[in-house]
Amino acid sequence: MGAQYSDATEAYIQSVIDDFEAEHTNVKINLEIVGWDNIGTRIRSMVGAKQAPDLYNGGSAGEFVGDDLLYKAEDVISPELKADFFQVFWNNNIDPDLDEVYQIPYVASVRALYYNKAIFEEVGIEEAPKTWKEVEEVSAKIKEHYNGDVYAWGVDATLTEGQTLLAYYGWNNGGGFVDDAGNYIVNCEENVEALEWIYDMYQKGYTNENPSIETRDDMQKLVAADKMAMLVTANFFPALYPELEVGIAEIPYNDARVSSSSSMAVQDALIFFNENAKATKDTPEKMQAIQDFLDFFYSAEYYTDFMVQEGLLPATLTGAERLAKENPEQAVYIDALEGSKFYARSKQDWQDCSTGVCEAGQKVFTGMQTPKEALDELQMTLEN
Amino acid sequence: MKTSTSVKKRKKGRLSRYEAYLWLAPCLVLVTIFVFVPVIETFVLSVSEVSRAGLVKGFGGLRNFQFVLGQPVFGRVILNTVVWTIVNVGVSMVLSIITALVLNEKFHGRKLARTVLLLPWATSQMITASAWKYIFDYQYGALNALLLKLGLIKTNINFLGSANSAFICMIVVGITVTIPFMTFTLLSGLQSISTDFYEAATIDGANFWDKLFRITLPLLKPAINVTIVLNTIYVFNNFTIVFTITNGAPANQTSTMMVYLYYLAFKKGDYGASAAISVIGFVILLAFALLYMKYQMKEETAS
Repeated sequence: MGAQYSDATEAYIQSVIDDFEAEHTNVKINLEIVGWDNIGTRIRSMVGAKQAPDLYNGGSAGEFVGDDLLYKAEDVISPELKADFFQVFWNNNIDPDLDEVYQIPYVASVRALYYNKAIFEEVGIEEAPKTWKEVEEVSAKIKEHYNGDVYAWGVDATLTEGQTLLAYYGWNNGGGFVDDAGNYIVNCEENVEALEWIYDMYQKGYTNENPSIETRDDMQKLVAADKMAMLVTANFFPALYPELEVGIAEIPYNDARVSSSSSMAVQDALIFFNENAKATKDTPEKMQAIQDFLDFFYSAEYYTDFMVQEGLLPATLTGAERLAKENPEQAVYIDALEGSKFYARSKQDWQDCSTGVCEAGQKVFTGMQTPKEALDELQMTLEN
Repeated sequence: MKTSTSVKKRKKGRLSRYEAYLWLAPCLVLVTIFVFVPVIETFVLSVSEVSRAGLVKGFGGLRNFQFVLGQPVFGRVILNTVVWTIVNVGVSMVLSIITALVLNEKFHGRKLARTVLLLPWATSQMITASAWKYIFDYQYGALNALLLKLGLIKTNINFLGSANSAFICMIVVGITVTIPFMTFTLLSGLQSISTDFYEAATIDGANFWDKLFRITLPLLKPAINVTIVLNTIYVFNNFTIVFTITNGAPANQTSTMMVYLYYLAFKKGDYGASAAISVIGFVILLAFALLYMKYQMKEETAS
């Protein structure tokens, strides 16, 4: 069962399956594609009824591994496929509590700073800001030029994307969600300072007015309508507004704390349900067929074409190579992928952290709590 | 002859009694599958320990309820739900009675007016709520633009900027969505009142207010009662408006119970707690409906 990325998702995957079945006449693969809104509910009812699919890409291993419902990735995929994934992706998928890998990357996207070129030209800004200081300078200019009618910077604290606060700003100030050992550090000094900075931007009138309810989609529309100058968002944004003249730059960082920008990659994962979630036995023949299919699916040709079609990025070395050859303009993203950081999604209580960061942001932007109070409270909740 | 017909009749009577069950059977089966089973499942879930994967891990007693009641934000969520329901139904009721009275009069374009009134009801609530979100927008919203043009305000108002003001705005949206259905229920009630009463009252010299308070409202009471019970349930269970406009932000301060239970299940992965909220909501609504009907029926038999 897979998630629907676009109207063309199902047809494409079905065509891969058809090609595979033509070569492996004794194998029959059933495909079900479900929209993102329902997939979480659908998979839970399937798991509850012991009818889980062999392959699933609508969530993360952390949701299911606690109930012993998953195979380890290495028990399913071939060593060749394992070697083909970007090392950063593979490492990101290690469950820090169990020290094992239960999911493989399925699709990737990467975040960057996008700016409206028309606004920059109108105000007379020649280069995208690289550091927080430059962001403030540029924002002041934009605010003054338009007398406050155009937002300089977009910030999102909604439940859909609010967790990015600690990624876009936390990482670029030396903070983040977890330390190297995988323990939560949401209230570290760097994170508090990062939230204080973005809140200061908000109070100076450089950002959108209601970060708690204005979603990324709302703000992408504002950038496209020349009402917002800069927004950190995903690499599929330009394709949504082909008419828009949009510039791309690295996410700005605080040069007082760190020496370069941290990009953020998001990956959706593929997991493998074991016999605990199914009514039938997994025979060795079946496991071999699954392994063969994955090799087939992730082969450079099929996999990369799928990613290009969906506006996403491949997580394999062979895929990236093919993409760079055929779509040179995407190469910049591939470079960014390699140096990217990820959400701590393989942690089993990641949902609590992610939702908690959104809410901390909402409390800050509505003046209910200071950044320190909000993050301290979240840290306490996560530790208990 | 006589006896045989009476036997026949009795036979027929018994047959039709069984027949009734036969005809009811499909409906009963459907109601069992689609109403009772999910309700019972929710109750079971609420007293179970449920894992993140949604699997029932055994009996959990009242732990889910304890957890939910112990959440600092729960009081606010309950208060929001009560205010949301009472204000929404109350204001909508007053406005709907007025609208229904107007639409019951004969005037040019009455058909058109009735059709227009139905439109907000026929539109998807998701679309209505999204449209309102833009209308209330601080910088580019139609409402601020209108108020500025009329000279009523000097600078833009941030309608959705604080929890309280955003909540008021959402109640306004709720009212616009509730009025159409209410009005039509009341209108059908008005149309069933015989014109004889009014003619007689006119002869007796009654004025507009006499007729309203002595004839219309008392005779409309059954329709009003039905409307109140039905709409309290609808409005209480409404999810789309708050979900679309604030999604509970900031930090569930604008959440109603429906939005909060969605948050618990799909943002926190806590299905047991979510089911507990669902059960609490169910009990509140059931208690309301029973009390209201008992009280109203008593009143009706008394009068």
